[in-house]
Amino acid sequence: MADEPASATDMNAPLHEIDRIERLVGLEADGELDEERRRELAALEARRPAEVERARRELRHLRRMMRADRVPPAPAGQRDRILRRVRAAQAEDRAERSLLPFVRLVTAAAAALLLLAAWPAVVGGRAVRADERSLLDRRGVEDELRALERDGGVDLVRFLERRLLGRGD
Amino acid sequence: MSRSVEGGTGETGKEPPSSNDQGVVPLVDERVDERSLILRAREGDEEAFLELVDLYRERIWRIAYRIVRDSEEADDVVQDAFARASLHLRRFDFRAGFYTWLVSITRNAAFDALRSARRRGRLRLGDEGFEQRPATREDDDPVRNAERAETARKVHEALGRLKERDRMLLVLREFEGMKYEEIAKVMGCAVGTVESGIHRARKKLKKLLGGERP
Repeated sequence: MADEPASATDMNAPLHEIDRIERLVGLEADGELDEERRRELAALEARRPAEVERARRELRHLRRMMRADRVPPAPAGQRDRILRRVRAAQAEDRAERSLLPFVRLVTAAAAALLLLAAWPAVVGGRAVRADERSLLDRRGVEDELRALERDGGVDLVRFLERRLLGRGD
Repeated sequence: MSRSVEGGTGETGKEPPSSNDQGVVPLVDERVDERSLILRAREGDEEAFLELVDLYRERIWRIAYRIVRDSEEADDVVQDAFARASLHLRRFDFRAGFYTWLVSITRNAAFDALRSARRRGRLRLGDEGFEQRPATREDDDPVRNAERAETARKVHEALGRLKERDRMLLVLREFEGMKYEEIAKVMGCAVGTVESGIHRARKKLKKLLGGERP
């Protein structure tokens, strides 16, 4: 069985079908096959018995091989190290909790200070927007738009042609 | 709940759960009232928490080792997992099994350890850290022993080359015997994702062990 060549049905089975068979065989081996898929596997087995058998055999082999991967025994003194780590983590947690109100206070104070520091920029931002507006006014853009509006609405294409390409009406 | 997994030796001085005919131990020792231990541990009873540690330490060790593939690192993961569990025990709501909850904490601790090892440049590949462990039996002939040792080395190397998520899926399914639904809880994903993941991981492992046909 070790070097058994692929049978004729193996050669003919399309890849997606082989993949499906392997998936269903895996579910079967894991005890996770529901009724619908049990029927599907039975139908596939009726059509491709060699392929289903190969998939089962390969999975059994893979599992046997995996069992060869051994885990060494846990290092000596692990229980004591766990206990020390648990105690340290809990002490750290308690310390953090006792600091929590103070941290909240500091955070709130820092937020308030930041807001105060940022206030001039907020007010300044309004001033900048006002400056931009007056600049536009100076360039007559707004006047021009108003004139266009009076003439029967803003024709954006005409407006851009006039401003950017210097074309008149 | 009484799944079976590989047995292990304890260092607690307590009598370990008894083995069955296949030399495996029940996953949860039903002699211990786990719920009352958890409730007591939640209230800060250190002895109760240590009893939970004694119940699960060996299994958590095996999972940690199989994921990080290094004794020192795995020992650290085990400590970290139990420390995290002790801090978050109040959040445990008994909806999942305690073991499933503990394994999901171990998974996070192990993945964090791997990320940190990568940052430190301590990325291990499958063949690194491989120790010649007793995959041999004294009553066997030397040729068979050598074959077993070679298989163990190949499998160890191939498992180490899988992505950590794929390795975790295989470890939980193949070594810990967990059901897909429990694995989904541990991995924080849908059962369908576990199903596809295990299928994909097996295919990859088979490919990595290339040529090893039955």
